[in-house]
Amino acid sequence: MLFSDKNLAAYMSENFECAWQELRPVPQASIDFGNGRVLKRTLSGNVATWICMPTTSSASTSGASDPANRVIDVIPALFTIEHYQARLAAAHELHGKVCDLDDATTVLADWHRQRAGQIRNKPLLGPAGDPHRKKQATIALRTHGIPFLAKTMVESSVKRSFLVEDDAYNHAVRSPQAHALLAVPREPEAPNEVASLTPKLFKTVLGVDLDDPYLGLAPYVLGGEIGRH
Amino acid sequence: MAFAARVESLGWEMRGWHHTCHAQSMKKRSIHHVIVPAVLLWAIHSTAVSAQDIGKRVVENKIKAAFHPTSVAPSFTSSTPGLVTWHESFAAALAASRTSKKPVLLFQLLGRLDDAFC
Repeated sequence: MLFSDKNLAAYMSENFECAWQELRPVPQASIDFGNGRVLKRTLSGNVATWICMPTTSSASTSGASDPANRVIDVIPALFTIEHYQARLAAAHELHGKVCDLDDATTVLADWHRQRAGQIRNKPLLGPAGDPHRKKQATIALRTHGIPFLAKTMVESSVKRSFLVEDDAYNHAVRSPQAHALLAVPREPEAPNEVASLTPKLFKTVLGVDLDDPYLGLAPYVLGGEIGRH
Repeated sequence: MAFAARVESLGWEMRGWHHTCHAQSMKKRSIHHVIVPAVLLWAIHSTAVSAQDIGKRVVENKIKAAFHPTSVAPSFTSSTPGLVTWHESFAAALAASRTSKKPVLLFQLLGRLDDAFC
């Protein structure tokens, strides 16, 4: 799990005020084998990490469930630990530039436009050159020896290969889309930007319609027409 | 003379020691008479218990229960959401940010972060 990494967890706790939010219960898939046995598993849902700051908007107490906030950046879905921390560091640096501004909307929009362009032009580090995998193998060899190393490398490579593939896709496809979402000029006084942008992000970038009780899976998994309710 | 007297007194001492040893051996015999039957009884009892095959049943029953048609998958248990220090809510994180001047990190997901397998 991403947040079980010691260095990343320490970085997050030290530099951010962290909170997590359940958008809705996790979807579960059940397979009934017909002999009384039922296999239940959760569907791996998409996640988003918002970096934001509180604002002194007058609309902050207008019935909104959370105080007013300004979105600085969003990290769509999952990344490798290295890329996730790099994204957090960039957002932290941006926060330092805009936190004292009266109107940060223009600076934020420009920054996201530039980032989207940079990502499109910058190649990713391939899975073969993944420094995390090399470091993990070295530590396992020193600590537990060859047999454990073999087991660890097989298990971790399977897990990591999925994550590395996700990372590459999220970086190349979803990140520019998320930056485009935040590059649109926003209102100077938004009561709760995270709340207003969350449905858009999940629907347009992550492909999950939070308003649809079937999360957009109905025609593919359940059959029937698109947007079945 | 002195040597004879010393030998004689030593003889008495030896006799006394012999008597003591004899008394101790008698005590030991009586103890053996008590302990040995007790051990035998315990051994017979434990043999009778093992004859009921309780250990085997304990193992078998667990396997039977696991493969019983009415058995269900274990429910999701709560787990610690990593090593990060989390505020109890987004609002609490925003409130803390006002004083610490740190940005807020909000992790959104389907399901709960403190559920296992989530």
